[in-house]
Amino acid sequence: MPPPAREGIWQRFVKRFYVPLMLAPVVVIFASLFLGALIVALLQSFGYAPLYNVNEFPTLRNYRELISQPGFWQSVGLTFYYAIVPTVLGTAFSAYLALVLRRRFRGKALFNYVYKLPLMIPYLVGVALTIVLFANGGIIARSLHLVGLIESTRDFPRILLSHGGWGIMLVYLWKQIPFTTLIVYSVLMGLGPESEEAALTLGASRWQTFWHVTLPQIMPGIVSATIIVFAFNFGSFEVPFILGAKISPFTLPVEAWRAFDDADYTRRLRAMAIVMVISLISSVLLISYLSVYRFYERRRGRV
Amino acid sequence: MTELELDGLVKRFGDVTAVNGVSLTVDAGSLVALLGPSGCGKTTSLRMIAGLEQPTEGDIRFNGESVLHLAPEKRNIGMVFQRYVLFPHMNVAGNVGFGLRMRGLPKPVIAERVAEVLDIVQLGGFERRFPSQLSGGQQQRVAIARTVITNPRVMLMDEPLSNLDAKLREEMRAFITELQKRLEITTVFVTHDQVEAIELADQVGVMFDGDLVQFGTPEEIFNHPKTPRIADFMGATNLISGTLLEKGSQDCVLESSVRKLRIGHVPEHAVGNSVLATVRPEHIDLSLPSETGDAVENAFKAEVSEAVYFGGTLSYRVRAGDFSLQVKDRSTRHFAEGEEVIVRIDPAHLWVFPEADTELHARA
Repeated sequence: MPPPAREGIWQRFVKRFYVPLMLAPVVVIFASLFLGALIVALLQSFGYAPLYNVNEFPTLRNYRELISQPGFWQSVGLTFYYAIVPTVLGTAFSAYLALVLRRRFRGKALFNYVYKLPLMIPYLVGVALTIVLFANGGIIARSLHLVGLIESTRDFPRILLSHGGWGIMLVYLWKQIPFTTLIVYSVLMGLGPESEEAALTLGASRWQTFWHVTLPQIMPGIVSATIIVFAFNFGSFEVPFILGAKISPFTLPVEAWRAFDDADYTRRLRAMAIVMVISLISSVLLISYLSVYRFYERRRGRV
Repeated sequence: MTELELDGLVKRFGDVTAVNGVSLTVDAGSLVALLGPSGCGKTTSLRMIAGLEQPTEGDIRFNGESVLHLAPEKRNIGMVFQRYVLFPHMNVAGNVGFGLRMRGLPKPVIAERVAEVLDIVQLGGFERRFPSQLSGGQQQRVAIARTVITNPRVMLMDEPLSNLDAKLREEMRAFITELQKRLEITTVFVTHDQVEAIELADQVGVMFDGDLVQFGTPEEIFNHPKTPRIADFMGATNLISGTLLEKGSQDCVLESSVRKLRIGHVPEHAVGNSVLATVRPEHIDLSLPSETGDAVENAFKAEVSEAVYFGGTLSYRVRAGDFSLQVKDRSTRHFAEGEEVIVRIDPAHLWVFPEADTELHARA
């Protein structure tokens, strides 16, 4: 029997580094685009920006100035408000929609298709749609005026360009309800109707069944969707930039953009400090949320 | 205790009739098995009793009172599912106490009842385990405990043993029989396994294509099937066609292609009619021609055309002309293929079908 052929250097290299090699494309993109950008932003926020002839590294001046501004905390509050309200409303509505979608009803196939449409349409289209519909000179205000329900289109509630932010949140809901519904619906389909049927036969009312049996089992889907949706809303720039109020306070991403877009290039360091604050708040919140959820799951023997 | 009555139960899904006029009575405290192949309507019947499906026609009565207007949660029934369907986010105590919690009972009472019921299902000490930490048999026992804790009027079991391995299935069968007798809960058990139905049930309802084709004691179904299709489903694969020659007061004689056979009962068919009879494979005796002559009653010569060993049993196919029978022999003797044997059928074990399904009649 001939002796087994010796492996060449290349074969041994591939064998040894198979997994890292397979991961390399993703790692390279992640490292250069995400980590690279994060490091540049971090360095700039600490005063290292030779490109703009600034090098005070290491300094906390940008952060100190940012936090000492009274408008900063209002911006933080506004960003939280625009992120949390649509996340909570959207999740509740999506869970309800997913439950309804499980039932048989006339036109279900069409509805099943139509509700997903916003997923394929860019946010900016939603923004345009909101302006066309809900602006004071928009279709709804004009129609209400036409039928005599309001005296002038100016009497229509100010949904856009106000700190109430209902226009911003409407766009978020328009895009995110289909997303969350899709995730929760998939989890529900995976569960099947049996555990709910078991609860009913054990004497649980419909509400008790939802609360004690369905909801805990769709929680993984809800948590995943909530994390993604909240993180997006918290860091979203274009929607509050176009539909938000044009006077201070602005959301943190809009503040960051305003500082970045300033004629004074040195203000870009401030922009980077804001970006770092957004990332920090987002990360701390999401990690805490996940930790609490994991604790809850562990108590239920799931993890 | 509750008597359950199904009265002309029909369920249609669009053009498909899943259950076609099923009527039967389950005596209070007894166990009835609904037996049939997949898609015969047995699970749909069970779901209608539970209130999970609304019948298209007919009525369901508990102790004479219709429960059709009651939602599942108001019927006070218990249902055990094929896939256990334990709540994965609750531990054993949470699962078992669920029904009582939903009824708003105080926590100490629930804890006491849970411990009591877990002892009955031999799972005392498992309170804090989660379903994922239990074996299939343990999960099914938790599912049963969760059901019986609420003292249901009727317990419904939808193929509860089909996900278990053979040994565990046997253990669980004995466990369910014992538990049901002890608690005296009126029970409907759905299965496609005839052995399970025969062993567990006080009465068996056989269902085909949405129809309840026979309802009776396990002995009746097993030994006196109404139609060849039921016999076939119950494992009685031997069909003997012939003409009814004479009828006595206790017996009758059938002229078959191989010989005249005396049958130990009197069918309703008229003398001269073509009839179809059956004998279970395990009720046929084989012997060597040197041991028994073919002059003995209901005996004839045949040749072994096939011999297969199934743990503990030898299965033979014997032929006499165009006449072929399947025989299951538990004796230690072994007849070789091609060997000549004497086939003897005890008249008490021959059964003339009162009805005949055409397709199987043609096959015989």
